[in-house]
Amino acid sequence: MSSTRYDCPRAAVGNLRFTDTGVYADYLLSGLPFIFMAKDAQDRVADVHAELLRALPSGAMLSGLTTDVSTRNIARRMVFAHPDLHPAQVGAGAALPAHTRDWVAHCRTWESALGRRGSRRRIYWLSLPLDYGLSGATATGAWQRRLNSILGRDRDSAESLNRYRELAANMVGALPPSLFAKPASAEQIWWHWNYTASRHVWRQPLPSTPYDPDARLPGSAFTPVWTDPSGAGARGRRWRAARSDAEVFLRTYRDPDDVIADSYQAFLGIESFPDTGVRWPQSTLFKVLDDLSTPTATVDWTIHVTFDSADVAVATAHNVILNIKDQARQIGRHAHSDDELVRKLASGKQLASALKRGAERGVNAAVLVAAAAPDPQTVDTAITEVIRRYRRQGLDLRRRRGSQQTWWRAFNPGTESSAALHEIRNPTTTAAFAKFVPLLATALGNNTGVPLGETITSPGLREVVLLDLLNAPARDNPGNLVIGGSPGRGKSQCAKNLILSWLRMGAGVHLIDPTEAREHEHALSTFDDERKTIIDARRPRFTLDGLRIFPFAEAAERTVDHLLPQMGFSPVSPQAARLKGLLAPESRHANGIGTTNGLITLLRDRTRPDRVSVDDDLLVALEGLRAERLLAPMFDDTSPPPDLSRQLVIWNFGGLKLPTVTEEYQAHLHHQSTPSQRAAQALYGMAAELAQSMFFSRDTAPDVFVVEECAAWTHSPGGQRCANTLIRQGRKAWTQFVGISQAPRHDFGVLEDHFIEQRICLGFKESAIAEDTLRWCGRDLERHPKLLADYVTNTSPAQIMAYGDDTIDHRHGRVIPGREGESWILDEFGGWGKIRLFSAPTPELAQLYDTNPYRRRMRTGTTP
Amino acid sequence: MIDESPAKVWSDQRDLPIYLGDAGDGFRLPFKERWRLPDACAALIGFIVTGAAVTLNLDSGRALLILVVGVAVTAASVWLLSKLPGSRPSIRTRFAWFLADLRPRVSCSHPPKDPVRR
Repeated sequence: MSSTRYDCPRAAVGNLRFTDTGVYADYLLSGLPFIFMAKDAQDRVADVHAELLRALPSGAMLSGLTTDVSTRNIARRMVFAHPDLHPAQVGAGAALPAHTRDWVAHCRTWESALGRRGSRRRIYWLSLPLDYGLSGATATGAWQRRLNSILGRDRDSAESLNRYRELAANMVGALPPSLFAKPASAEQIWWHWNYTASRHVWRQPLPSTPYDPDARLPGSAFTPVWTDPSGAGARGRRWRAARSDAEVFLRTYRDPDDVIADSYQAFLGIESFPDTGVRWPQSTLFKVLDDLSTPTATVDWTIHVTFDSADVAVATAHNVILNIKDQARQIGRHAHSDDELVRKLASGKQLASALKRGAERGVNAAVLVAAAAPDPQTVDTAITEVIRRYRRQGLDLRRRRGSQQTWWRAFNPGTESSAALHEIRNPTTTAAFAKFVPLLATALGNNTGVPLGETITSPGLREVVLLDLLNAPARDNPGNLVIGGSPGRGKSQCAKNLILSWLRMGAGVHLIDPTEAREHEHALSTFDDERKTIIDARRPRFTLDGLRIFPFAEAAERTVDHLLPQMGFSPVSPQAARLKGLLAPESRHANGIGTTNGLITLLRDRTRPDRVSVDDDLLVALEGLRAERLLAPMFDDTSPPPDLSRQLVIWNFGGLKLPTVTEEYQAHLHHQSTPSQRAAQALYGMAAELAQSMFFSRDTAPDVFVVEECAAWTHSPGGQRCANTLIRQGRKAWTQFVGISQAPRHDFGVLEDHFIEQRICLGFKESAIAEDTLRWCGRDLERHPKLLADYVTNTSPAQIMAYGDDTIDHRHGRVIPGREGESWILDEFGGWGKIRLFSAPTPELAQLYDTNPYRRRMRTGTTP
Repeated sequence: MIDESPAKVWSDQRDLPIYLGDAGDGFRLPFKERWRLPDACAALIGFIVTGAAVTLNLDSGRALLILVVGVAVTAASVWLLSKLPGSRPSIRTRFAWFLADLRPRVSCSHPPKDPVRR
């Protein structure tokens, strides 16, 4: 509060922050996935935090701040998902390749939809003091600092800068690599000052300027901030600024030329923690603040840590124990009237024991919470909720009048030494404090990709989730995705958004749609007709004759594979051998067999000298199949073959029923499967084989094979074989697989499902399927019982109101408005969290995607 | 290696009110059972000052009055100081915050002479 000192940085050089009280190196840290993870993963996160506490220098400050995410940056991340638009390939200022324009235009259609989301994210800011040497602000370090001051060392000479950089590099080099410490840029330090000065109302996203060690910002870039306790200045109060707890806040304001609104900030120090500790792994105290962030209020935290050597920490703990024992004597008979001293004694012994056992340095942590909003009422509501939630966990926080200007200084590197942090600094150990795991990742999905949804774990920290399935093989990961959920929960909506994005990105898509509604054909009706082929089993326009549509060399083998099961012959029967022989390329060439009908004509010719007895069996079987209505396209030699090389191929199999694996493998059931079931099997098999053959032959272009409602397909023997090939080997041919199912474990557990790394789980009406799905996604429900409860009862919940009156309420039984499309996602990197899937980006697309007959009737006004 | 022990900060180890009164050799401070430094000092100073003032005024005719007033002031001081909070924040910080709240002042991050500050 000295009138001659500056609270702001006096200069920033690279990631070095020069202040009146010292020099700091600023870094951004990456969070770690933790919430609802398995025990070993959560233990690893605690280990990393313990390692961080072992490596940090004394006097380090770690803060959790929030930043708005610019829509432009999200759109940019989408654009660069295109394989031909990687920043390394497209030089600055160079024109975009023509074939990528479709994708860029598609990204623009999303821009306004994403802009409405108001995405914000938690970032972790680490400031390391550099004036005291490698171990930080210890007693020795303080002497070194005094010596430097006496010697009059110039702080920003080239030599000093190099020394600071080297010191910072040594400090940060000791941090756990999984936190990916990244030096903040000078612009980011400037952002940090403005953020701290005008928390919540300073809505500039964190600059993405890359770190340049020589970039400089002068002191004049850091414009002043005025702090007005309880807004007394604005209210004209000359005495008693805060007259109630609700008035314990700080108004900060800037120069009018800065055009930044007033910020109302309230600060609390965590004064005491529960004697019994907070149960692991529910001890994520800082995650609570994420949950309490709202679009109208920001809740941040900062931790200032100092360290004692193991010996000093143990000696301090022993002194306290001695004092406690002495006090028991001093207060005489009162010592027996309450258990406070007994508890303190036990606690002190526990601390001393933990310090001795771990033989590690003692941690002295001061933890502060800040809430900020554009008005005093909102900030009061936010901070009151923080106090209430923390008290429930046994933590004590108090709104202390007159403290706010002091606490504000705790969030600003350079003024924290005058922030009375000793008043809330408490001893702990590295292992015990690590379990508060402050550095948690909330982001899900990929860095670039197509828009999938937004994280909804914290109301105020919603971040756009991008899915980059197409480029998963480039990262040596399989690009397989399963979307599961009960009917009407939004599986198909999600799939339609993704498919359209992939098509716009130029990927080839083959889609099997077994729904009667032919919803994908409808949803993709705006996609260029010249670039798509629609094959409808019930309205055939193309031939599906294997001898015509498969490449000549493969045609015999694939046709035989599909025909034999329908004909009822075993693959090792004489009939199978004869069929293979007749369809061998030489035989086809010699006998002029160009179509399956041509084969029947040949078999019917009894005058041939090479005719054998099994030819009659083949003739009878083939003529029987030709009479099957569903199989007519396989014997059609007049219609043109479908152009399967087009970008989009939709197979509409509405109403086709496949035999199950059980029916197929058990002899008595096999014989009971109907001809139409066998026909359906042949068609499904052919569609999948054609897609696989096509995709595997063009391994330098991304392709996606999508199977809607794939229960029937994955439970058929041919489907299983094909699905296993796709999910196992697709990565090497840049082929992705997307399966949509109402019972994911049931439908994909029969496959080699460990290759299916990415899973989107929407709500299930049956809790048994929900539980099974969570277990299938590797969730430990014994460790996280709340996850199951949340999944079953709080994932797109329906409104079932019972007011007791007879009001007609059309909302009854529908999903609560605004909560549609909620789901849990397991991303490519094992991240797990709750998101809300995006609906269509434009109203026109929303109409095309919507298959609900009631809403269609309301829209079109059609009556029977 | 992580065990299942809870996350913990030993905040109770920093909030230990220090009481005086028992010298350990059987001597105990009189009148009160729980003496702390401020009220013990007030009692001691009050005792010495009152005693000295009474001694010096033995012949003035006001000794009794001085004794009564001295005892009353000492007792009031002891009572008042025993009400001082024994846990953190410290008295100094509490006083600074009390003053900051009593007479609020707008503070600027830049000194008054800085040209950036208009």
